[in-house]
Amino acid sequence: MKPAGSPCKHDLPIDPSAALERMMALYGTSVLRTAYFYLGDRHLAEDVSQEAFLRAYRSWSGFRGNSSVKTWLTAITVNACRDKMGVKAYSEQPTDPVLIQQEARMSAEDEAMLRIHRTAVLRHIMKLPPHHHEVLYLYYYLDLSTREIAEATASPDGSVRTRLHRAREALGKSVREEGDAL
Amino acid sequence: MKDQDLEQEWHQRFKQEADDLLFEDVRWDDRLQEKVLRAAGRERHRTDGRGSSRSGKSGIWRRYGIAAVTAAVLGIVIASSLWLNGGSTGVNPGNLYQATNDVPGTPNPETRALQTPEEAGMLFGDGFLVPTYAPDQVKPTGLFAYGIQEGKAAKIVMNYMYGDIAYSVIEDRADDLGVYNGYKRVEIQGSQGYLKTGEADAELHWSANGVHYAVIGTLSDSEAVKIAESMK
Repeated sequence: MKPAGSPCKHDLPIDPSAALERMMALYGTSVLRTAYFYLGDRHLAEDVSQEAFLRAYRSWSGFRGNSSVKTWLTAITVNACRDKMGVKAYSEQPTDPVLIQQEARMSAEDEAMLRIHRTAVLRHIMKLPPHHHEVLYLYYYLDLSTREIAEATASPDGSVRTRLHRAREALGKSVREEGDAL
Repeated sequence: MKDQDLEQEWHQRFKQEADDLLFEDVRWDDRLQEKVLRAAGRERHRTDGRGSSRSGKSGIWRRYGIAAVTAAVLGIVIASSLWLNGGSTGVNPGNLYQATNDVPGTPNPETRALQTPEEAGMLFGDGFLVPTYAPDQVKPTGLFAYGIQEGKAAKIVMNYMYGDIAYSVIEDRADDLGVYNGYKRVEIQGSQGYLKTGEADAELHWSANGVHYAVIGTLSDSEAVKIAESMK
């Protein structure tokens, strides 16, 4: 069951400056973590999350409110991350956030990686093929629905559903193979 | 375990493990927020500057009004330049927010951030008033003196904020309050005042003893009047 009731545009101030402050209060950490998840670098993530909020600020007046503010901000953040990574256009093959992060961390934070490998779910997700990572993060961590993920990643809803279904299957298979009793 | 329970378990575990291990120290903080606000303020300043040069004074108020107040309330440094109109030469609402073409972030020697109302009173002199009422939980967020020459400030701006409420109290030396078409007439401390309200904002002007006072921001008209009446 996905949580409901994410604020819509009309729940936030009309004035872009006031809305910006509210968005940062509500979603600052979420945006920063999403950028970090995609980029695997704290400094890059901070740069990109700031850029994402500035893009939101510039676009606030033109945002029609067809999606929740959270989904809209996630889409902006994902796009900003892709811009930073040099991904010009989204394809059916998503970017590889965890792999990028894993590589960055393996060189700098081996101890943290060891801790991750002791986790119950995270380690399985990280073992999955890269194209499963994004959808699992957006679905399980950010609590976005498949429709919202489709909006945030500019993908067809059906593709997201298929991608999520396959990612869950792969996750379940990985868990079962190791005999974890979750 | 049922699929639905498994799903819930993955959901909770993934969030918990990601929070604990991936994102342990990854949190949005005041430093990042301040950076964004400053950058947004610079962008607004550039945009406002272009708008001013295109259309003159007539439409200035609606463009600069709440945005400028909010910027100042949020503590954006660049907002200070929005109030720099070279002293008290004008009293129309738009003049209170006349933009300049100053380079964003460049400190102006005639502008000063102040620490206490007493300091503002010393710089402004006679007629300086301080609100003794603020809506629930609203706190002062900034105090600025503008147009300082020979130790005297031409204008004082006090900013307040909490939640959705953000407003400025502005005191500007002016002999004439100007014309306020479309404003509702109200009495403030025995003087004629002019009140305008929007969906979520209010703007109140009145004058006394050669000082033009204004309460402007995202607050109700009744709160604006209450603040004005409380000024001592």
